[in-house]
Amino acid sequence: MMIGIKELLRQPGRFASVGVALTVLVVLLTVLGGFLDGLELNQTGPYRAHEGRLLVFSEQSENLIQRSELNKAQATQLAEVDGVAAVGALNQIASTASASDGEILDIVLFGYDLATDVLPPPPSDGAVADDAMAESNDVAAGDTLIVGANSEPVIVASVVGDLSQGSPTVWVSTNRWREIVEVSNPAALPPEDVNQALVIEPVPDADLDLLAADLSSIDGISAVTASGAIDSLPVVQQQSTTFEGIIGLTYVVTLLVVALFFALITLERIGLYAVLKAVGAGTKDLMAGISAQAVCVSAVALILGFGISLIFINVLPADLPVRLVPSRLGQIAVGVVFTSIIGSLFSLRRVLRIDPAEAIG
Amino acid sequence: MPALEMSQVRKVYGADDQQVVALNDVDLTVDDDEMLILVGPSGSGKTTLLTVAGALLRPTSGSVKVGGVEITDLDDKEAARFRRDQVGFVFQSVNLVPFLTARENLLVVRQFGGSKIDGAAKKRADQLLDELGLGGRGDNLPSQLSGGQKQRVAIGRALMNEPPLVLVDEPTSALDSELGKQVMDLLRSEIKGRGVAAIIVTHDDRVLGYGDRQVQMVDGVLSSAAPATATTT
Repeated sequence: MMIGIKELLRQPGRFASVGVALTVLVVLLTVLGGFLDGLELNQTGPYRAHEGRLLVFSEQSENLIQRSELNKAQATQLAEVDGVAAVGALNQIASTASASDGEILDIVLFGYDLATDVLPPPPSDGAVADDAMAESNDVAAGDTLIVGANSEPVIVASVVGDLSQGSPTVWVSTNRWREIVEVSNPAALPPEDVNQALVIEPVPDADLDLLAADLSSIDGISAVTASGAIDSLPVVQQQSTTFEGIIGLTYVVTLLVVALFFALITLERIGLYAVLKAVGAGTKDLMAGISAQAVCVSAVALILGFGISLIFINVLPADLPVRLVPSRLGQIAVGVVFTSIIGSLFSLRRVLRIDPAEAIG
Repeated sequence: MPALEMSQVRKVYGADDQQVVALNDVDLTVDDDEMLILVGPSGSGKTTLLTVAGALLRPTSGSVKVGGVEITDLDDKEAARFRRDQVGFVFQSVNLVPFLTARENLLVVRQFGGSKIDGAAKKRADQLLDELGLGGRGDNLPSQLSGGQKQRVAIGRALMNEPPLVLVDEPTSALDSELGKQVMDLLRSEIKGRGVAAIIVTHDDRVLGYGDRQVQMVDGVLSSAAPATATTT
């Protein structure tokens, strides 16, 4: 392994080509991952605001809130299940809002009952606004939003981050939501005692997956965790499939680049490896050196690639949905290093076939 | 116990009509402090004998014992360990690792098989470099050394693991007369000073006098064996 590292340090120019190629691939992976995460996070704020809760939909809705309807009897049934601490309503409708600057924004108006780790208890008269509105339209607590076709005034009680669902969201109590929908779009208002979805607050230390299974055994009910609800969203599925396909292909290219580079460099080193084998090196020793070089080149490419990606993303227009998420960067780092190690191992067959007797002519 | 015992060793390359007999039932014994000079024309089988003695090649038949241990049935991993611990090689073309310093070229044989380079190994490498007249050259890369200095580093590498048997292939072929003499003086001094056995394969008449015994090989057969006529140091 030491030999490999020494070669890298003393002849870095030999590894420049693979280093540059890997850096470009890291930038590509990071930007693609940033777009995937940005698109997904921008679509799923309301669901992620319910982490630690269960979301309940009608069974035929495919866990899509706009297709779901649950009645009071079902809510009562759910409340009686062991492990359920509270049941609250969750409703949504696409609407508009104008802020003090007069600009009319597309929003999603939510009505809710239960506080979460992200959402405060529903304000009795006001609203919780998504900070996307604060950033784009300078909306702040105390401002009045004019919501819906009938210009219902709603006072912003607080601003909470990361609640977007494609558009900014505004959160009011279930009662206030029904009042606004009744006047602005009565046809969309669910019947009395019917809600689109329900939120389950579990008792402390409850196993969410087990509780979801218990609740889903009730006829006509589908209970899922927040991440389960996100996975059910068609937009998320489509984006994930597309981007993950491209990201997977990029990993394959990474594998091929590393494999090809080390296959070529191994061909160049046959004489050297024969000498090292002759003086006692095993195939394992030589492969450890090659893999150590692959790991080091990957590490440098990751540092450069992340740095370049950061600069690149910062110069992109602010309205592009790109987000650098630490877990995604960690995933790319592990993926690139792992792929590089696997790529370097493609030289194993060639190294195995090197005859130490070649060293002596 | 002899350092090397070869008994009825046969090495055949190719198959059927294309067979070439490189070693033809060779019997050879080298004592544990003997310096043997192996001479013969090109293609006579000298290098093949060296590779078989050093576990770089397996013989087609026969027995090869180094330090009393049979080496013909070692698997690849065992053969690598044997070469690392029991044999020192000095190659015709020196074959130093170009991106390692002189000191690191000596230490490199200590790190194979999961071993670590400790303080004692570094001390031994420095001591060997001093003995070889390379005390101030330990941090030089091979490209910064002359041909004679490179050959001396190669000798140091062969002796680094204190092997009982050193195998040397054409040590003076790329050196002029003066450098060749210096290298052979040094080689004899190091080998005899340590009491280890050595086989030196050569075409060079100037080298003949440095051995304790001289053996000639022709067409894969050890055709003559005689004591060396002179010894210089």
